[in-house]
Amino acid sequence: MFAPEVPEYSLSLQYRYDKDGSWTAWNNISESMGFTKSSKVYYMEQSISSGLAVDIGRNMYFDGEERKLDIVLKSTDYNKALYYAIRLHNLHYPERLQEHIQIRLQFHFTPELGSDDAVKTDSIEFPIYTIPADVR
Amino acid sequence: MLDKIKRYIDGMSRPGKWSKAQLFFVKAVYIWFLINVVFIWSDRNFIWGSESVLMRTGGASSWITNLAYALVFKPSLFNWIFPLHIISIVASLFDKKWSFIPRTLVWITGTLLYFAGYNAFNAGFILMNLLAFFTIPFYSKAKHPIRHVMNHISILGAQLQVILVYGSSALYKLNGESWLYGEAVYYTLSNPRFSTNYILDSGILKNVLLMKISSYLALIYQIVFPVGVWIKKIKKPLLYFGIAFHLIIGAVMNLWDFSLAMMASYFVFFKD
Repeated sequence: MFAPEVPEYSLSLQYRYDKDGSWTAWNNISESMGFTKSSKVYYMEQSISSGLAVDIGRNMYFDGEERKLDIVLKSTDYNKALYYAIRLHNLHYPERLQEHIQIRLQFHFTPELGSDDAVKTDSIEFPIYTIPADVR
Repeated sequence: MLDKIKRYIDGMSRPGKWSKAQLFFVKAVYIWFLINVVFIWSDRNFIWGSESVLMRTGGASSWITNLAYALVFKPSLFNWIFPLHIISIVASLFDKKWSFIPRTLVWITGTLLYFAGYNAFNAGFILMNLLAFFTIPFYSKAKHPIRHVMNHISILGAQLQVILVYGSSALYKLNGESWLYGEAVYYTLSNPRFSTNYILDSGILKNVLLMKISSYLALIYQIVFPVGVWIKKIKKPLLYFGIAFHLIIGAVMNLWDFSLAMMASYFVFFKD
């Protein structure tokens, strides 16, 4: 309520990882671990997601139809999100991440005020990240 | 007007007539910090320390180079700084000659904790840390003229700080479209992060008129506050409206820390 401009979307930061040779389903990171909206972990996740969304807005570009994320991948915001996902998983679950992880940011676009349209969702999927052996 | 200002400056070296509310304001700042500790207690190790989930970036590796980022450079300091923060908060609740010492410590440790974990906090923490700074020298039973001057600066500084929050927030909003079109409350409450299932499912968001009125009311309140709070006739209704406004933000948007911070800051304006 004190923000100068209010985003017209909400965000979900999701991740999946390889487990015994196959990929898990996409999951909202903190929600899948049981953190509720009142938790600071959820608040941090949303704050990190907002930073990443701003960076995508600034640095994602198109090559024809293809979304290009090379500049975003070098950004602090992307690396912060990736670090958060790996750290939280490894702290929360007794079984640490094995070899690969992938994150994506889901945008849920709020319909215009007074419109009967449904919420539209779009995802920005980042490339698979190979976790360094000393972090696993 | 000039006479009034002159009299105010002359009166600064004399004991201030502090209202009960203004005396409580100083305590309220530290009560907020205590409540904040309770709020974050279960998640503290995710925010700070060696188990933090926040990536640390930038700057030199020596904490001496930048005191505000000490916890960023050396997360293990958290084991010392957080307990010191809590002890200092409790000691700051007392109105004693020596209170400036724990209050200075609250401000320093609060700054360190904020910069190392800013993703976990909203403007409420920043505001309270700024107000904590202003309350450092306040001692209501002061006898020395210099301490009287410090007391006046404490209270006036805190008042101006709160006004700055509302004033700058209103100016920013006037530069954005969603507030001017009366859509800001709708977009905020449509976001599950700042809403409840009850609000999302109730159909209230479909009420265009209600959404627009709420947006414009919030905007007008923030525009009026910096001036209105100095006008005797409207000050009390304005502050009571503000309390209701922030209670709603706290309950609906799940931003209790921010709402409590804003409400605590109101005490500095109440006079007996």
